[in-house]
Formats: sequence, C-alpha cells, structure tokens
Amino acid sequence: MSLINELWKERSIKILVLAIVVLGLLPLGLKGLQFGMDFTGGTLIQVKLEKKLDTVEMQTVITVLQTRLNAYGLKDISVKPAGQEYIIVAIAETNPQAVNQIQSLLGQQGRFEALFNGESLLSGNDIISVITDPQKGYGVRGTQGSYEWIVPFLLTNDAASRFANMVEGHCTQVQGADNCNEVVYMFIDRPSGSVILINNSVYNDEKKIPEDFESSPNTILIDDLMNNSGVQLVVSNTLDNDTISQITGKTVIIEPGSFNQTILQQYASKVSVKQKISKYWIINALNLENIVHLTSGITTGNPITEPTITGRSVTVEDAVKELNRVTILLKSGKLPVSVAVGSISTISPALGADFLEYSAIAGAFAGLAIVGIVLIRYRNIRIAAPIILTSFCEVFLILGMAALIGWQIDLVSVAGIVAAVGTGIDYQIIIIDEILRKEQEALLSTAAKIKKAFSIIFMAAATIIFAMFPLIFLGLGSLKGFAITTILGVLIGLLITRPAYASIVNKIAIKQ
Amino acid sequence: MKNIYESRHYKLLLLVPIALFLVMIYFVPQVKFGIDLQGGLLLTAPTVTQIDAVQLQSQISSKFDLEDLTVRITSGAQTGFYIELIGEKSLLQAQDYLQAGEYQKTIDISKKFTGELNVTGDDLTKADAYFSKARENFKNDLVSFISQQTGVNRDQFSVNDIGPSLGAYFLGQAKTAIIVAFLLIAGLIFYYFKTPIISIAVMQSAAFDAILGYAALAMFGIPLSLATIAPLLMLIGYSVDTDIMLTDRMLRRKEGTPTIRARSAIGTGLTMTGAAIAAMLSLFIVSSYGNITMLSHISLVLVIGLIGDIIATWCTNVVIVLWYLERKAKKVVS
Repeated sequence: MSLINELWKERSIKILVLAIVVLGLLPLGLKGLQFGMDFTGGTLIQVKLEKKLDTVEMQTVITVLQTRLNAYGLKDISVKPAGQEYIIVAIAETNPQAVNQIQSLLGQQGRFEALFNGESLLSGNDIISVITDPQKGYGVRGTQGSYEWIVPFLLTNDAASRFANMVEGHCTQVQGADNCNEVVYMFIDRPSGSVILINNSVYNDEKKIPEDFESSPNTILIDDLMNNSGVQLVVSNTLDNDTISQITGKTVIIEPGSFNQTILQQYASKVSVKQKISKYWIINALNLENIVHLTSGITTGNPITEPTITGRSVTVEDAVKELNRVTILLKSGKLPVSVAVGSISTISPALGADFLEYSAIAGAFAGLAIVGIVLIRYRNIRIAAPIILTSFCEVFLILGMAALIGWQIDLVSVAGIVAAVGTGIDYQIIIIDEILRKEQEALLSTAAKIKKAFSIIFMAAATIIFAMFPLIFLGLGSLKGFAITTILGVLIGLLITRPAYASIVNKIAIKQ
Repeated sequence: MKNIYESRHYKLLLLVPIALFLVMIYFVPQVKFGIDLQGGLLLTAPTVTQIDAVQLQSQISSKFDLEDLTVRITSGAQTGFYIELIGEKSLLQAQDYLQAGEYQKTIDISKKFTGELNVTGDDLTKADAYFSKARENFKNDLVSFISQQTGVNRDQFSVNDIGPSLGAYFLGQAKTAIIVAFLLIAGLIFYYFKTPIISIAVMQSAAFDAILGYAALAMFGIPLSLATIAPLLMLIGYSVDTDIMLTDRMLRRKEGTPTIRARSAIGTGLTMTGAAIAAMLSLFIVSSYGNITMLSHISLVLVIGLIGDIIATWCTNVVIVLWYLERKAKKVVS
C-alpha cells in the first residue's frame, strides 16, 4: 500500500491517471470507438476523372458527387480526392445490387431536366452556367419569417426561345403574388420510360405531395406529378396478370420489400430498388429534385437568356440550403469532366466482424508474446508487471484518442497500434536496462540513469515520427491511418506513459 | 559467453550482412507489384456451387495468354471467386507501344481483338481508340469465358479495372514517402551524432532492414501494395531504435572498453528486437489463421525486416563504430 501512496506523490503518475480518465475513459464512454470499413463492411469505389483538376474544380466534382449520392439517400458516404485525377468514394453499403446502382450513379453525367406539362423545358445542356454573382441577384434576401433565395443562370439562345414559347401565356396568377399556379418539375436522371410500381397503401399515403416535399400546405397530386414526369405509375397490391402485363419488358422501380423481386425479374427488363430517403418515397423513385413556380415575368413570350429560379423559406438556414442545392442541381448536369468508375472493393459486414474478432485476438497474442520475452529476459515479475501495465495503458489511450478525434479504427490502424506499442516496449527495455546496470556506473543515482535513457528514447521516438510523417501528407489513402495511429501511440508513450513507467521503476529500484 | 568483439578478426562479422545482402539483391528485382500499384483486372463473383480454383486457373490459362493470373476461392460469409491479373500479354505489349509512340504496332496488335475499326484522326487517337476497344473486347471475352466455365451469370460479376495511371500515382507517392522519410531520419541522426561515419553506421541499418523487408515480399510471393509499404516505412523507424541505443552506449559512455560496452548492449538490444519480433510473429500467426491478408502481410514483412535488424546492428553497426573508435584512438596516440 505504501508503494501506491508513494507513487501517487509523483507528478507523472497523476498525469497518467488524469490522461486515462480524460483521454481514455471519457471519450470511449461518451463517444465510443468508431470502426472503419474493414470491420463494419462497406464498399470502396475509385472514380477516375478524365483529366487532372485543380483544387477548385476538384471541390466542384466532389460536391456534385456527394450531392448526387446524398440525393439517393445513401448514408455514411465519404467522397475524398486522391491526387488530382482520382476520387475515392467510401460507402457503408455492401448489397451488390445497391453497389451496382451507385456505380452507375457515379458514372452518370447527372442529367438535369426541367419538365413542364410533361415535356422537357430545359436540360443540362441548355444551361451555359449558373451565375453566382450577388450583383446579378444570386443569394438569399429577406427578413425574419420569409427569406427569398434566387439562383440566376445563363441559357443558350435556342433554349431561351424554346423556353419562352413553351411557357408563354401559361400563368394563372395566385392572388396578389408574382408566382403563377403553374409549376416546373426538376429532375436529375429522371427514370424516363420506367414504370413505378406501388401498392395501395403507399399510393394513399403519398396521394398529396407538399411542394417543398416536407410540410408545405400547397400540395401536388401524385397523379399530376406522374403526368408531368413522363413516368408511368402502376398501383396494385399483388402481381396479378394485369399488373404483369403493364410492367413486362420495362424497367420497374419498387420500394425495398414491397414486391417479390424474383417474380418481377422474370417479366421486367430491369428491376430497380429505390430506398425511401425523404418523407415521400415517390420523390426518390422519380429522382425529383425540386418544384418551382413560374413567375408572371417569364410567361410573356419574350426569350429570357438569364432566367432565375427562386423560392421562399421560413428560416435563413433553410434558404441557404435550398440556394446551394439548386445551384448544385443546375451545375451537376455539367460535371467539369467526365468520370469513370475504376475499381470497386466490397467488404461484407460478416467478414468485417470476423476481421475485428481476429484482430483483437491477434493483439492479445502479441501482448502475451511480449510478456513472454520480458519474463524470459528479466525473470522477475516486479520488472515485467509495470512494462505490461504501461503497454496496456498505452493501447487504451490510443483507442481513447482515436475516439476523441473521431478517427475510424481499421486494419492498418491495428497494425499501427501494435507497432506503436512495440516501440513503447523498446523504450521501457532501455529504461529498465539503464537502471539495472549496477557495474561501473553504480555511483549514478537511478534518476540520473533514467535521464540518460530518456535522451536515447527521445531520439528514437523522433525517428519513428519522422518516418511516418510523409504518409500523413501524401495521398496514399489508408496509409494515413497507419501513420496517425503510430504517431499518436509514440507521442502518448513519450509524454504520458513513459514518464509514469520511469517513476514506478524508480520506486521499485529504490525499494530493492 | 565470449565477447566476439574482443577478437582481432571482428571485422569478419561484416561477411554475414554482405552474404545476406547478395541474397537480397537476388530477390529485389523479383518483387511483384499489386494491382493497386500497377493497374490490372480484378474479377469477383459470388458462387453457389463448389469451384476448383486450380482447375479454373488452368482453364483460363489455356484460353488466354495472361500476365500474373491468380485465382482464389473466397470462403466465409459468402463463397465466391477472386480472379486477379495484370493483363493480356499482347495487350500489355500494345500498351507499351502506345506509350512509346509506336502507334502502328499498337494498332496491329489491337486489331486481333477488334477487327478493322472505322476510326478517323491522327495516329494517336486512332491507336488509342483501337487499344481501348481491344481492351474492352478482351475484358468481355474473359468475363464470358469465366461465366461459361463457372456457370455464374455475367450480371453477378464485379469487374474492377484499375488503370495503370492510378497505380503509377500511388507508386510515385509511395516512393516520395520513403525518400522523404529516409532523408528526414538521416538529418535527425546526423544532428544527434554529429559524425558522418557514425550517422552512416546507423542509417545503413535502416536501409538494410527496409531492403530486406522489401526482398521478403519476393521471397514469400507477397505483392507490393499500399498495405505492404507501411511496414517498410515502419522498419526504417523501428530499426534505428537499437542502433541509437548501441551507438549511444559505445560513444557516450566511459566505463570499460568499447568492446565491453558493445557486448553489454547486446542483451538490451536483443530483448528490444526480440519483443518486437515476438509481437509481430503472433500477429502474423493469428491473422494468417483468420485470413486477414493485409495484417498477415504487414506482420510478415516486419518479422523478416526485424530479423535483418539483428544482423545490421550487431554485425555491421558495431563493427563500423568499433573501427571508428580504433582509428580515433590511434590518431590520439600518434
């Protein structure tokens, strides 16, 4: 007991205990450890760009792809650049069908279409650019309770004339407002020619769709929506002969679990399963992005090459969100370069769970092996125990720090942790051997010996950090995780656990 | 135990690393690059029926002339096969021609896969079009053939075509990482020891271990990939630990003779390296058993590199430092 009391007087021990609580227990308890795709399962997709891009263009492409994936309701997506020519997309999805869908989604140019009365009013090719100049009206304006967002864009001359002709005279004005009753529907990659198959309950639930897809009192009937999108809707509770005949040879879009896919596959040319992401499934099924009212000004028949899309939101945050969404929407038909899906690798969740289990076992065995070596060499549990205890604290602190900074633990991180703990053991061996050297330098105090050992340790730790340093800044994907965990581990060892270990050993040595 | 460093012939110890170095040099050019570093095709598909990997491999090889074909059956949560290859031999040749600007030769080879194409444009666009089409056709033929042989529907295949340029990008980055790490450490070592010869003694060990780790890739048929670059860098950092400890004791201590000090450092050094080897060996055994290829590759490279560290430190580094101290002593006397 007296040993513990004495140790508690040491500053380094207090720091260690504090670190275990603040950097270990708290983050692990509150935030928990996040596991990477290696352990949770998921899919990694490499996207190749047509040419090298600068940072700004790269950001545009990433934002567009991200928006596209978000629009398709995929959760846990990360879209990151690798060099100037590649983008790595990581998603938690592993279902082969869904992955195929994502693959085509990424590869697509992102076909933007605005439909009016079921006919194409505008497409991505008609838009020369989105004008993001506030002088020309771009931005959010307004006061508390009603914010207006405006996105002007530039049309080609042909498109401007066609647009003018199509909407001319189509404006029944809402009382006292500039907006017309008539609306334009905007899609990205509209599933034209497909059949959407739903059952009666979904049909009844989604009979009326709010214009903002959320809670707006202005609603649009699902039948109007279908008529205006050029997609056929089939409502049926069973796959009877009538239903089958309507879908035969076509691409069928269904909600997961709603109809028997195997049967559908026998008749339909393709079965596309769309997840429900927003409040209304039909919005996702149609890839409907926005509903916008015509304004009286643009239905006069005069070609307008710089039309605007505007809307209103109650909060400024929503208005800014809408502004960005529409901007990206209009831009996303125009990815600055064409993209191609390179490689895809999928790790199934079951395999990932196996990996995690074996990684934990491997870590435990590595620990035991170190214990074995230390016991063989020193044949003294009083020396071996602190080494093992310190290493254990180190692993705990690395995991805690990872939880704290939200770093995802994956396979290379496990290797990094083992490597960091391995070097940690090295330094402890250097310390203990310095202290145990009784021969010539017996005159030196234990504290002086520890000081000597630390000059070697600082140097050795610096070399490991230097070796890992380049990996953090280079675009080598997963290796960054290895470098970060190793550096983290070495720093924790150097600043927290090693001084504590030295204190413990110092006390034990004095006792002997 | 006798102190070998007391022997007059202690310099003969250098023969051990030299012999090993020759073996390493033999293996170094044989290291294969994984498809993430050089491009290639990866075909995977789930299977319901049992498939014989050896049989499938020979069926594919008899039909196509492929570079580095690997066929593996994956088990676990989902059974399936995993087929990896660098490319079709004549098409790889065509690719070299394309890069070398020999467009006619590219087109001649590609024609075997495409037939005559109606392409206009200069030689480059023409050759490029022929080559892309040929590659596409080959890929389709290969997938169809495997589909026939295995009875797995084509739709079930996941075909990953990694272009050579992404691989080249990763490879370039990896080389930069290794060179920068090496230079940073060299600077640090030089700053610490101030003497060029001593710094070189420490750095040779780092280089020796990393090269041995690299050669180990060839010895065990592990491809160099992003995952296996990590342990090579780790080795650079790891190996200098023992060297710094050893050199520090030999140069900065005063007790006994340098040879005695060297001998006494062995215990500490071997425990350090031994603990690391034991840890990595356990990691290797468990991860091999659990089929975690990435971890087993990383740990195996580290084990081999660390074994090399024993030689680089206790046969080479010691000898250089002893010899340096001897010369210094002579200078003082004369």
